[in-house]
Amino acid sequence: MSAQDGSVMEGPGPGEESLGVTNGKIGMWTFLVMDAMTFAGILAGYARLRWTPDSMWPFPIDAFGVIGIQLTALNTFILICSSVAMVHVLAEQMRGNMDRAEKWLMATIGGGLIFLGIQAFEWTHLIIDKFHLLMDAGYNQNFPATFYLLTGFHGMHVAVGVIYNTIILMAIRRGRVTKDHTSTVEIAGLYWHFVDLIWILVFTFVYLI
Amino acid sequence: MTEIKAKGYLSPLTEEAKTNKWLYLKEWLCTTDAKRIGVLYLAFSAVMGLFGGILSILIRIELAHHGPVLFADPSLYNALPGFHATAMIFFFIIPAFTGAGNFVVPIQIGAPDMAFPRLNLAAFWILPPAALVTFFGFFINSLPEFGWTGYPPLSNNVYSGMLGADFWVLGLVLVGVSSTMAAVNFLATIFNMRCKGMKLFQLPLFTWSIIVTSFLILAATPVLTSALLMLTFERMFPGVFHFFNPAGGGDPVLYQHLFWFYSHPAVYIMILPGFGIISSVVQTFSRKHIFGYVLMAWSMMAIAVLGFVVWAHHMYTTGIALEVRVGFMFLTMLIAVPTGIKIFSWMATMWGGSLKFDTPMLFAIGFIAMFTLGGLSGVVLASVSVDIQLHDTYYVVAHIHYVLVAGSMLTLFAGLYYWYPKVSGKMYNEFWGRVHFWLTAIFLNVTFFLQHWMGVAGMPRRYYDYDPQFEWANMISSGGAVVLFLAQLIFVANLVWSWKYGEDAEDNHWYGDGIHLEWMVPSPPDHHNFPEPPEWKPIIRQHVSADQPGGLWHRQQ
Amino acid sequence: MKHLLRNISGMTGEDATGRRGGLQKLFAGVGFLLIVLITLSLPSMAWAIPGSGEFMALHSEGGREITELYNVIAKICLVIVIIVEGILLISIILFRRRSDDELPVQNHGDLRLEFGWTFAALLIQVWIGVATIDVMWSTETPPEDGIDMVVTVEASQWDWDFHYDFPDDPDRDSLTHPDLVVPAHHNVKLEVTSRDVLHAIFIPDLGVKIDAVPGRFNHWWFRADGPIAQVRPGDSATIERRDMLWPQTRSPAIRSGRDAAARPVSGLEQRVDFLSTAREVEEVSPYAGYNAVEYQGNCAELCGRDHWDMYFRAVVMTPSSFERWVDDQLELVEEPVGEAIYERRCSTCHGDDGTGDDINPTLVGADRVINPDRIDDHIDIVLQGEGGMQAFGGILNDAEVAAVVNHERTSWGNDGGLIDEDDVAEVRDALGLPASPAMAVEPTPTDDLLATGERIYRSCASCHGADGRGPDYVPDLTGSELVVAEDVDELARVLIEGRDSDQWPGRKSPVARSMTDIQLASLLTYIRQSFDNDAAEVQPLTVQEIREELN
Repeated sequence: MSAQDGSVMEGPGPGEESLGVTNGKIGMWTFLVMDAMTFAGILAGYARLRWTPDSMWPFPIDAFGVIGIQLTALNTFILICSSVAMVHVLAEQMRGNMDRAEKWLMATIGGGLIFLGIQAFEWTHLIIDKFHLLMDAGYNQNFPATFYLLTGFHGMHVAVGVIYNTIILMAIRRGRVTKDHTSTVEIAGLYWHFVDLIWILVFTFVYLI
Repeated sequence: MTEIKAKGYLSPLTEEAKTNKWLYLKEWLCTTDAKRIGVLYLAFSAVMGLFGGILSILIRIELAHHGPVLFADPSLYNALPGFHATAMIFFFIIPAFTGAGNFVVPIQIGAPDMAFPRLNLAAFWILPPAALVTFFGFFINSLPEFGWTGYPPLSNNVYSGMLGADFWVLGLVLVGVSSTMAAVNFLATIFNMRCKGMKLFQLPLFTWSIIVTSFLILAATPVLTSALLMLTFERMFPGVFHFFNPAGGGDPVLYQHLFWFYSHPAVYIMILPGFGIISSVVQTFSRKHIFGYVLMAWSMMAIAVLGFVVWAHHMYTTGIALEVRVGFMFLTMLIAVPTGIKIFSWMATMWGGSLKFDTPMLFAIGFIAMFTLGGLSGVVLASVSVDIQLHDTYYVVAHIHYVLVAGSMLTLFAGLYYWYPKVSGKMYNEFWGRVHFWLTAIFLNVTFFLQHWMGVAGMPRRYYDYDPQFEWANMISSGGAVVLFLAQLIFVANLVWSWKYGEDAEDNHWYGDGIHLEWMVPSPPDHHNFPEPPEWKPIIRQHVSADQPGGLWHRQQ
Repeated sequence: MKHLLRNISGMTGEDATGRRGGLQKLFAGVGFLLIVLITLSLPSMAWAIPGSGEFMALHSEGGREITELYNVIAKICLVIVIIVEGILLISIILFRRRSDDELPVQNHGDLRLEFGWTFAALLIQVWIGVATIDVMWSTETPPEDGIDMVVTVEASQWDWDFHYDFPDDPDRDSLTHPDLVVPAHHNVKLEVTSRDVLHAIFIPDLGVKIDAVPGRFNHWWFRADGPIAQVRPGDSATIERRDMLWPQTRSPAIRSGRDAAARPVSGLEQRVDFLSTAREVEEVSPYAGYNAVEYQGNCAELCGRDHWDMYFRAVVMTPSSFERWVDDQLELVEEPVGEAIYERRCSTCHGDDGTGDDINPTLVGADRVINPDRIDDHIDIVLQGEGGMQAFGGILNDAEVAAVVNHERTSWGNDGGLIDEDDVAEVRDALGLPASPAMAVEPTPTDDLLATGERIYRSCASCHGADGRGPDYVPDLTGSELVVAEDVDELARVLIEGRDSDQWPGRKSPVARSMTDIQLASLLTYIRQSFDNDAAEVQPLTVQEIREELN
């Protein structure tokens, strides 16, 4: 998150010998490497807990129900759409069409908010109606635990992304980010696409396999 | 009010600050100048290093005699080794190298500052609160006694319900955030802000070591963070989270996997910058190019990559399958190869050189001599069967201290003495520097040397009291530790005294032999390092004999 | 001396530029060499000491293999140390800066040299690795001649429990003891687990170390034979020690009094004298009467406050002594068992002093208890119960019944004469009760089964309904023949394996596949006794049998 601040504010520029991109972009990429490793750590823990003999791990389809998985699939689709919208933001900005960029960015933020909303609904449903039944039936207690951790941690990232994008939206409205500041939007986009990518992994591991 | 007369980056930025000490102090604490932040890092780590040192003295006094000596309560004793390790690793060595990197790296690559100056300051300012949080148990008398590894189930809320443990975990997460921020900053700076002519394989080896270290931090620290997150959740909501609790379908060994996936690379995070410093020092005081530069850079990368695939060698006794352990053993042993390359390359650099034994060089040689021991006891420990017997004995304690004290700490001293004229613009007292070296080198061995024997004879570590047959060895070790600690006070006093009263240092202080950019700028450097962007002329990579014209160091024209 | 100091610290000063006298130079040189030798010998001692056979694990076959491996690796390392320190010292001496404007010849590396030491290092490492693999396999895989004895080790904060089972000897009960006692020259396998946090069993002399992890068993095996190697298998006499078996790496000239071979250990007489505060150290070792050697065992994994205090004795005995020790222990535990069982099973009603209360009769002076002719009645009531008293026949085995009966007949001033377990067996036979269970398994109370079953059933209720009557397409559980059948096998099989059906959702899912025995037993009991059903309860043991049949 801090890396994003760095990208927005003006620091020293690249030197003569550089990778040919802005400092902020490298900062974001390295930050994402770090973030990916955090998820890798949690996913590795998940895999270890789940794929051990006699782990008594419920089948996702039993645990969430067909409808639950379909709902989350829809949610995944919404997040991917939101990512596509983010691509359009950058494209419109590069064409100099800031009005349309702003609308696409609002769509992006909207997608993120819908995602969070559906997820909040799903959590409530699972906590109230589902998980205690599974636990009483003697399944591995870590099924809900890892579910909360993985989806919760990812949800936190989406929330941060929504705030991040909102800040950029405000900056566009106030004219701080214009068609010349493509790298600011590009960096925000990197983060947003990353969050999307991570969700596909989480969705696959938790709901599908 | 006396006017503050300081040169270079030490001089106040505004007119008001010249006469107002508080403004000057505020200028320091809120600075975005990487050099000043570097000095802040070093000062902070010195304080924490002394704190960790005091803890280690308490441990050694308790162990000096068989039977209770200092603490009637084993619980209190049990907390100390964990805090000692936490203080030394997370708040002394890692920040100290970050500080050295902050000061030196931007200058070495010809950049005016770090890529994200404010992020840099934020990364530093996370540390002091993090230290307070980590060691908060001391203030509320609730000390976690699960060591620095914090293995569950011992560290879960059932067996360590104390509040201090929660603070400790939180503090470590904060340190992780701080060092990650610093790593992001270093990578962006080094990859993107090099001056004209500074190709990647022209970089000084210290800068190379910071690149590799930053990658290690970037990839390893978050895994620790995720492990600590899981641990915290398990502590906070024991009814819901059972990641490491077999009763709820969890696995205590999972934590160890995640923990060591960070903590083994952490060893290299703590030693690689030291390798870089030694490369700089040795080539300066030998008046020679570093031997096998390219291989030196690649061997650091090899160490880093291998460092990620050997974590299970800390867990040979946890019941991992035989075949898996064999794999980890061979990977572990492979690490000795690049490390050996580095040792031999330093010696080849010295061979045929013109050696001058100032304090930095003494520390560098002391490092090579004693780190070899630490490395080779690592080879002994890599062998699975032997390691199982030596696991969690004092042999391991001796090994880590030969690696971290004779390794990281000596390199740190070498670097501090080496760059002190550049940082302060003054020269430290050479005589006391040498006294410091000899006391450190001798009593380091007195302290840790016999611990090899204790381990081989079967004394387990983290013991509040032990079998009387080990008493004589422990007594010697404790005595050595006390002198070793006192010797460090000489070091601190020397540097503090010299900051004010030392002689002025020259720009290229070490006999004019410094070849990197930091020696081409004034001592101390100006606020923005270079008046105009410098251009790096690569050093000619060919045999040059002394009688050829053009001085000692030939640069491409 | 001045020169010497200068040489050490590298303070070459002005002398370096000036000419020195030959003698002075010689003196400085010799002095320097001396320092060199001393500094060299200091670190090399680290390797010289362990290289002498002082490595801890010498008293078992596997331990000695590890020791030899350690000595070989240590020697290789010692050679490398000497090479490195030697080169370092030579270059310090040879290449000191003699004048300030001295300019060394430059080079940037030498590919042949660089590749040379890379491959040399690689070769050494691979060699050590291969040597280690050999030792690993021979010390860790189960021995070819089989495991003679299995000891279960249970660690807890901060104690050890060693469980011994004697499956080959039906006369012997299992045994739990705070010390590890094993026969010499027997392959002993340790199955190690923990009740709470991580521990690690560590017996330095025997080369035993493995973590105790809660929720799983780790294994280690060893064959103890030292200081020994003088106990022949199955032989209790001590014979001369064969020094050959000790790995020796130092020549006799420099052996010290601490060397293992010179250590004054005679026969089977080594005794542990330090067990810290956790254990009372008796004047005379409790194993003094046996032909035994003792080692110190401890915990190697930080486990909380008294981690340092988890000492135990690891005792290696001659096989005949071991047999005697086991018998002694079993006799020893026989006596207190009666009292312990009484306290656990009887004292809640009959009181600690046997006097009972308003409802429960007193045992003190009761006719059934003190009359030698009514011994059988006494056994009978314990086995079958009477009135409000519970039947213990299915809970206690013959020996336990005998013990508790004896306790009652000899305590509180009673003097009713003793019985033994054969008497109990006779009474059982006469009453037509099933024979005494070898390991008394207590049946799970029906209430517990029902409570657990009800919780589990909630996840069935989504289809079968809370009252057992689901929608049309779901089988009705009320009065279903399958459910209330006398024989529960078929019902359990449906739950464990699932069953095809032509109705939605098409297939009964194998819900019980991942349930534990007790969970399935609870669920079965619940559906057999709810919704107006009235069939017999199902015990976990039954489920276990059914599962075994299915497999």
